[in-house]
Amino acid sequence: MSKRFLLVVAFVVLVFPAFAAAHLERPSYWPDPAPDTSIDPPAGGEVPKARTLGSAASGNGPGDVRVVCKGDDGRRSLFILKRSIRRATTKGYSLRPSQPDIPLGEKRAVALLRINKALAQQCDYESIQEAVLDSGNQDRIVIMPGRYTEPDSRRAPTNDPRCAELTQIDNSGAATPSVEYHATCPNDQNLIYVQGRAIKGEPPSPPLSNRHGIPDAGRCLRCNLQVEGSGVKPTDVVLDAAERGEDRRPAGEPGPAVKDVVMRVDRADGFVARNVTFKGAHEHGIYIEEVDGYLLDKTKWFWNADYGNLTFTSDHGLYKNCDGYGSGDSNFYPGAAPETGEQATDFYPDAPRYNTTVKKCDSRGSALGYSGSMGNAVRITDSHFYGNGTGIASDTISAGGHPGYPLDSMKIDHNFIYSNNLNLYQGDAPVDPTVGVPSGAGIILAGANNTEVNDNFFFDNWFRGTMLLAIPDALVTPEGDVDPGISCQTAPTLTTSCNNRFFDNKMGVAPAGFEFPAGKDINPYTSKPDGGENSEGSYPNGTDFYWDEFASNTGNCWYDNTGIDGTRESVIADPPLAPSAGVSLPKFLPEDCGSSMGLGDVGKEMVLLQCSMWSRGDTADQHPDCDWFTVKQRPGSAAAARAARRDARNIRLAERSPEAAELRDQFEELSAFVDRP
Amino acid sequence: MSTGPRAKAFQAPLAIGALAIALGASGCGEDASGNGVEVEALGEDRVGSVASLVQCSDWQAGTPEQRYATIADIREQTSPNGVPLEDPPLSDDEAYEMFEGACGEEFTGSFRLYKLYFRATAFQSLTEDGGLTKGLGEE
Repeated sequence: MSKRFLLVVAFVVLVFPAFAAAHLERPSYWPDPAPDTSIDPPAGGEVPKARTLGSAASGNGPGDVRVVCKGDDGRRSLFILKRSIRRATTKGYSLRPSQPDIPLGEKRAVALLRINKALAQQCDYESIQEAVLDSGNQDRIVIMPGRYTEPDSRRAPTNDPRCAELTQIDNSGAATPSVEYHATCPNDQNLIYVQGRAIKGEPPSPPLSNRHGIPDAGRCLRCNLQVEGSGVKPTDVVLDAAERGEDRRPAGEPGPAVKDVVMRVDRADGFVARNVTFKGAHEHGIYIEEVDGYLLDKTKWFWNADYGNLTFTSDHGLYKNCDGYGSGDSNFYPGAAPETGEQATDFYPDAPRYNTTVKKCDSRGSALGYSGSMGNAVRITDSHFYGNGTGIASDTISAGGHPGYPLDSMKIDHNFIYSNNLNLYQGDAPVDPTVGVPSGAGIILAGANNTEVNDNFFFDNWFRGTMLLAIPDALVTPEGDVDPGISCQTAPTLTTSCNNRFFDNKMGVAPAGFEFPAGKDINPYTSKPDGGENSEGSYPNGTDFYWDEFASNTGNCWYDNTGIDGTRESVIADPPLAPSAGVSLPKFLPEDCGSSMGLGDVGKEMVLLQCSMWSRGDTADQHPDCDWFTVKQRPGSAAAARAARRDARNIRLAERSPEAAELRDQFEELSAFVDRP
Repeated sequence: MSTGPRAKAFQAPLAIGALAIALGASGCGEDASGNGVEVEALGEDRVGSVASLVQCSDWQAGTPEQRYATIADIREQTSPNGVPLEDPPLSDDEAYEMFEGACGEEFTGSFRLYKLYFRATAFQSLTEDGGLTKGLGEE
């Protein structure tokens, strides 16, 4: 095997290990963003509005209400509810661990019990799936408190021979389950399945290269469907795809998973899920695909092996007041989001706009807090990412299946991104990672264009606050057409990793009065393992801003950010800050966007390459220290200083290698090309 | 509506001696078919493919034949647009070695193999002449 190949595999497996490596799915299309007026009220075209729980009990339309409960006449559900109300009225309840507990007032408690008693009178279902199958457009399903294991769904065979022929061909030529597969065998893979639309004709084979519009979407069957829990809080209603674990609490680690997905929602425009918990899937908690208009409000997803919440090729989405924990990949994954940013065509007449918003959410205790390959025009705001291996990672590298190349137009603003130091690389890691991610990073952007990262607090991330890395075109094979409008036009072979802007962020400090969540939510790798109020003020990141300086990348800039003492000068950056503010100079962190261009840093690329050596070879030379897959030390400690010296030594060694010389030649070639008139 | 499910099993070398060859880093294992013994890929099957769920712990527990069958399955599910399966970005042996390395650590037991493979195939183009600079000036 050639050295060149080893070098490449090194890049592959470890230089870019944090990036969401996508998932396997049928060829997916972006839904028509216009409202579907064939039903009244129309479906899609905007984020749907949730209807109140009270209106479900009163029978005020539109649509029919189906109630699912536990026990005869809902008695078990009412017992659980009363217990929850008692606790909430005396101690309050938690929606997000980063926020103070919420008190439940007497008036609200009385109303909630009255509503639930009325709902219990209407309860005709023990199975959520059965209620879904009986529902139509505008309908609602109210789930009273309890743990729902859906025994009939669990008994449904996996790989049901009845559906074996209902596959379709994807871009690789492989057969994948079609919508018809899931519609015919809804519980083959899913604990609960929601088919939103009829199927019209055959799916195109091979898939269309133009992914705008779903070619085989039929009429609405279950558009504007609302599914909600009637408890005090989301953990009063648990949809559980796993066996019980030793810890029987809703957030407790489950036993083995029984189904791959807790709830799968296909093409159900205007879908609302509220006040429920999705737990214990072999893959994903809630999976929303090819949907226009969805709202996930007050939802939690715990202990799903891959993604807590996976939305794919879906538009007009809003997650809010949510909480994710225990995902082997990431809690959020809005993958292949529509091209409503800088690459929008007239398919989106109201572009530019954000198509997906994450707001007021907690994401914690997972390999990744957020990931999203081709997560175009997603906004993440007013949320907390903490206690993960990496807080947020978004990328453009994923292989086939993800239309929307390249990732662009994200906005990450007004968030708190801290203590993402979860060590997944020990024998008893609290989460089983399904993907390799570096420990200690706040944000990793790989191959992103036109991202805004502003007005966030980054602190106590012991490796790096933010990282910006390049993905050369040679590494990516886009799925479907590539729309025009890419801002990164440095060179024909480098259409990603340009025009990303980091500004007005506060680095290495927690705001006054900030309350750290307790250790059980954040893992031991934090400067405040017991939680509690910010007492020190500054909680340094290992490095605040890191850029790989990839040769010929342009328009990336970092400005008006402050460090631990509130000044620009206290920002810790790699490359370092320039002697004066507001300029872009070679080998310094660019602050002027217009004149920013990378020249390539062979040492950085080579250290990343060295990270791969843990996976090959037995000798020390073949297995040098790697700064991505080790337990990070708190910045400022003697151990952290030792690690820094070791890493610097590795860089010097790596820069002398033949592979470094090869990379250096290529960077020079790239830079020369960009300099051409 | 479709061509039907894919075959679950793959052909693999028959002779035990082939194991050693298959484990080798080069020269063999490009094509695991041909000797008539069907070997099932590792991991849990979903609609004729193990690709979505197979993980490093499965890899570690498998025989070389099962591992090659698993590579073939993952390759079929992840091949980029228009790349023929007979000319994959990673040969059988290259993929085998990559999985051996990545799955060799205790903490990677739950890693999904397709996620590792995605990255590997994406970066494979760098092995070709020109690497990062391929295509420059070819407007």
